[in-house]
Amino acid sequence: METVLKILAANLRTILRKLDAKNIFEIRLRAEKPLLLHTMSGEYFVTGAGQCSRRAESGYIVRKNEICETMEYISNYSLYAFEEEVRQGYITLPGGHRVGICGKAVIEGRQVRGMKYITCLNIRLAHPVTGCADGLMRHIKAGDGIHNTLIIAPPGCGKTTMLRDVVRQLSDGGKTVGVVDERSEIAACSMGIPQFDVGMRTDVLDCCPKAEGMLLLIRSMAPEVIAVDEIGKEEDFYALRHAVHCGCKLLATVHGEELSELRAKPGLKEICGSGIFGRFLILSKKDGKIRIREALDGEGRRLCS
Amino acid sequence: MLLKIAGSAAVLLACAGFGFFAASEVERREQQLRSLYASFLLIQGDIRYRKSSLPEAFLMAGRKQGDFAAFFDAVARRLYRYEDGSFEQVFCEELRKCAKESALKKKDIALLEQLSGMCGQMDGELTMAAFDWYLEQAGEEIDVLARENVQKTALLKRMGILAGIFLLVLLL
Repeated sequence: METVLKILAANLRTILRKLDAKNIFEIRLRAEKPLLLHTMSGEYFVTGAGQCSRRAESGYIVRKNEICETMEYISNYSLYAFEEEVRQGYITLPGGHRVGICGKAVIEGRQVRGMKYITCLNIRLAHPVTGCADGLMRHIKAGDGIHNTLIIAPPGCGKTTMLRDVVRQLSDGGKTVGVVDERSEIAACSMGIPQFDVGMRTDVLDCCPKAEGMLLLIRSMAPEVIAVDEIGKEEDFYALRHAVHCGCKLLATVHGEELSELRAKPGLKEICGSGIFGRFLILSKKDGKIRIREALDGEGRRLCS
Repeated sequence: MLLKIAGSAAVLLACAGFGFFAASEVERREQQLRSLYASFLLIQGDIRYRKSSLPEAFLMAGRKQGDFAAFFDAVARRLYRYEDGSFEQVFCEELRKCAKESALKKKDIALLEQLSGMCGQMDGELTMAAFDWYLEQAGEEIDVLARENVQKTALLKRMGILAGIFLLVLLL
C-alpha cells in the first residue's frame, strides 16, 4: 500500500494514510468528485478526516490539480516515458499495481496518440494469489515435461493470475521459463524488475509484442517453456508454431468460454485444431475464486470437470 | 618608508588579485557551461535511447564527474521522494541553491529554469526539442565565450594590475 500512497498527491496521501488499507481493491480519483474506494465489503467514500463513509456528500472532493500532481508522481515526472502506456490507458507501478487513466483522447489518423485533460484515475491494487494454480499443475505436467497448454477464460476470470502462478511453479520446479509480457500484466515489471514472484528461472521480456518477443526469447535465452498472455493475432500463431518447432513448450491464455467457440474463430481455429496444444484448460470464477471448469486434452476430450 | 612600500605592495597585489580573480571567474563560467552542456547531452541521450524518466536520467548524470554532479544528484533524490511538487519546482529550488556557488550568470540560470518548465511533457518529441533548444542556446553562449574569453581574461588581468598602479600613483 505504501507504494501506492507514495504516488498520490500530498493531500490524498495524508487522508488515505489514516485509513486501514487492508482489503482495498481500487482507489478512484475523479476531478471534482468524491474520493472513492472499492473494498471487499463494497464501495466507500473517504472523508477529509480519513474515514470511510457510505454518504457521497461527506466524501473528500478530489481537485484537478491533485490529479495532475498524482500524474506527475505516477509518471516519475516524465509522461513522455509512458507514451505507449498512456496510449494503452494504464501505467504499471512498482508492486504490480496498475493505474487506469482516462481523459480526452488525442487522435491521429484514427488511432489514439495520447491523452490530455487527464481527470480520472483508477488505481487498482495488485493482489497476487500464490498457489492458485495448484489444481492446474497435474493437467499441465507430463512426466518430466509439460503439455503445451492453452488457458481459456472470459475477461476477469483470472487467466493472467493463473498463468503467473503456473510460471512460478514451473520455474521454481526447475524449468527455464521465458515470459513475453506485452502489457506488463504477468510479471508487472517496474524498471525491469518483476514485481510479482514469477520464479527463479524466469526471464521476462517486458512490453514487447508477443510474436516478436517469442522469437527474440528463443534466440537469446533458450527457454524450455514460453509463456504468453492473450494470444489472438495472426503473427502470434506463426510465432507459437515456430516456438514449438524449436522445441519449446508453450503456456498461453486466450479470451473465450468454450473450446468450440475458439475453433470457430479464424486463426485460433487453425492453432487449436493443429495439435499444437496438448491441454485446454477452461476457467471460471465463482465467489471470487478461480476454478477449473473443464480440462480437455489436445483432441478436445474431457479429462475431468 | 618601509610601511609605505609594504602598503603599496598590498594595494598592488590586491588590485592585481582582483583582476586575476575576475578573469578566473570568466573562465570558470565557460567551464561550467561546458560541463552543463555535456551533462544535458548525456541526459538527452539517455532519455532518447532508453526512454529514462527524468529522475533516472538526472541520477545517471549525477554519478558522472562534473561541476554539477551534486546538483543533478540532489534533484534526482528529491524527485524520488515524491513529496516536493512538480519537477520544475524541485529543479528551480535546487538550481538556486547551487547557483550561489557557481560562476553562472542570471541569464544562464534563466535558461535552465525555462528548460525545466518544458521537460516531462507527454510528447517525447517535445521533451527532445526542449533539450535541443537548451543545447543550442548554451552552445552559442559557449562559442561566444570561447571567442571572447582569451582577450577578456587578459584584459581583466591587465586592468587589475593597472588599477593597482593607478591607485598607487593617487596615494603616493
